[in-house]
Amino acid sequence: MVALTLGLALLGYLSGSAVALALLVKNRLDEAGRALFPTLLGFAFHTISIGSACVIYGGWITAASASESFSFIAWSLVLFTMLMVWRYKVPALLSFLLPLASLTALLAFVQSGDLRLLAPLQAVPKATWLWLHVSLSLLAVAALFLAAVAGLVYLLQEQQVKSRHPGYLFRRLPSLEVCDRLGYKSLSVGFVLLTGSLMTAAVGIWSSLELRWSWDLTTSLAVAGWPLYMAVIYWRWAVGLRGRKAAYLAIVGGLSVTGILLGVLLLSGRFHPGT
Amino acid sequence: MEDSFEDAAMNLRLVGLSHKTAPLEVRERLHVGTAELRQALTALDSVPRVRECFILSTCNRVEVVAEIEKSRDGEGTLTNFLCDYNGERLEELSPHLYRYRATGAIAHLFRVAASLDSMVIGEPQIVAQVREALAAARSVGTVGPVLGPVLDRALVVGKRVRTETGIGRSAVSIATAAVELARKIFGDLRGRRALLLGAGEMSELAAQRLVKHGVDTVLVANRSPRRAARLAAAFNGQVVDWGESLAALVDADIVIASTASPHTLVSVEAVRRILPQRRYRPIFFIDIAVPRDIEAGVNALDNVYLYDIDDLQGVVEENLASRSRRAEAAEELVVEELERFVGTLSSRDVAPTIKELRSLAETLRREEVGRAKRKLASLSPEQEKAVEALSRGLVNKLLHRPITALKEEARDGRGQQILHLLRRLYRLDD
Repeated sequence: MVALTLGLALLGYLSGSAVALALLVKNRLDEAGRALFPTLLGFAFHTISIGSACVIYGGWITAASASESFSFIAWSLVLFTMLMVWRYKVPALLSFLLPLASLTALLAFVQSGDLRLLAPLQAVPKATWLWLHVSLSLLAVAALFLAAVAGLVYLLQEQQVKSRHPGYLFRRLPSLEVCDRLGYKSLSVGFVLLTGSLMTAAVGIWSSLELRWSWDLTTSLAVAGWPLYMAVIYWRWAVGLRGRKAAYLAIVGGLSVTGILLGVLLLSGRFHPGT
Repeated sequence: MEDSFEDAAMNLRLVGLSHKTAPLEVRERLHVGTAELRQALTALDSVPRVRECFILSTCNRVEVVAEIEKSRDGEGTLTNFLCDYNGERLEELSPHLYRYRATGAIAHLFRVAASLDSMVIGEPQIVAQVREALAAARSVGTVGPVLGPVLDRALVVGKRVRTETGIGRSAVSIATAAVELARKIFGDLRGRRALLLGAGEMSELAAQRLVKHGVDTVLVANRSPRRAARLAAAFNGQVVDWGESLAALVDADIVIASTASPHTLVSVEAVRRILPQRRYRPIFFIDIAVPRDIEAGVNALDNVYLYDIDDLQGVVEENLASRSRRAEAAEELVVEELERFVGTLSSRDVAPTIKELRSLAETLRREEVGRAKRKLASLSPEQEKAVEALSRGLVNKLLHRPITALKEEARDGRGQQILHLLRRLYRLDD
């Protein structure tokens, strides 16, 4: 059931991506809303898939396998994408963000055979803090990844405008203002989620008799990244950091953190190897 | 029987002149204003042998289209009308006229509605102009079952070309190019502030465009306070003292510079100084002045964008070239639509015949069923239903094959022969 609905979700996302990309190439981005229907359908199936996993495997998201983690990240990416499209009324965002979400969902589907093969967390009591920690962490990864993508799109568009000879991408990419706001909002949301993730982990481990704080790569990155993200947000708020500098920071911060975390996930099957 | 739709469409004739064939002084003599259009249509409709007619008169073309009874010189009829109605001499007007007939006239109308024959390919006004002209013709009843479908189809083709090729999407004037760039920088222009340095005609045009797209505050700075006040009043804006114009950069999002100053007014250093005060919000400089008012180096600053007159002209030229490339795709689309429309010409004629055939069959069926019921004395309700069902089934089965054959032949463009035969066999014209 979990894998089947995930597969249907993937089909929906891939169809939406195909429509959005075709419209991007044809420069008919004002019709990009056509990609919404298959995407929403896919999202509905995806929600059922995640919900089924929670019900079947004990009522909570544990990210005990790479498939579950990628699945939830993809779901988060699609959710954030649709929220951004709704908020900024820029359906063109679907052309850039949907394919990435589809790729993540594909990774989840490809690895769905190993769902629940690893079950060490069955030894851990079903604690609310763990459920919160996992959910917040995965949402944070999605938001920070989105911030990086927004930064990249910003730089591409800025290059077009600055060149004074706008070319192929000029009409196809969103405006600089939209890219900048998207990046900032994603970074802010990602930072809040990351903060929540770290706090829930700290509280949970502190209150647990069996668990110990582990300085694995994931934890170290999250803790190291936190003050950097805070500094960027503060810099924006206090001084007005925006534009190219903000885009570079979002790309470096977002891609490095999410890239490494996803790499850990792919290689070891979990965010905290050894636990 | 009247002419089939296909035959009637072959009687279409179009005569006209445009910016390609006639200078402005000739076009303006033939121009028919909105107020006179209905009168002109009525006059054309009253010309002998004209069955339906349509007039399109814009700043770049005047065209008359008519369905004329079978005549060797339909074009001559329309040419004479243009001369007589406008008091022009034939030998002076004739060299400027183009003439189309039958499917050529239909093809031309499709191209015109698709803006492929416009002075600026892809311009959006022509579709509305054709629509208004069609509405006027319908209001005086000069457009009927022949020209109506042709012009309706032309409007559909025009819309399809614009949607599928994007031919009208890019800016092809300095002012619209400036707006396009501003929207790519700021997204929504609502709430943005524009500052006009100087008061040139082009900067005024650009400002008008920006205001039309949502810029709601216009500040004007000019060495002449009177000119500044006049321009500010035109935009419901505010005057900025010339001495304070650099300070006004702090709040402006879009700056349009077009002074007659022999040296630059806005330096890189000045812009660098105001950026922190603006909290590094982006600012877009449009420098239309020659010599330039703004130092070129400002474009290198983060969150600052500068386009001078050459840059904007470059954008326009690239867009025009892009439109030309899209025009090729649009022409193919028009050809495709024309072939499809011509293919349906013969199909149109079969629908009324099929309807008449079914009506005849139903009449005969009822007569025979009524006669049979009288002979069969009292029938039970079930028996009556059975008789009705039997008669309907027989009629439908008998008609099915000839109707299907008729539709197939019409689809393949051979509908006329079988149509005439069916009408003779069943005496539908009696």
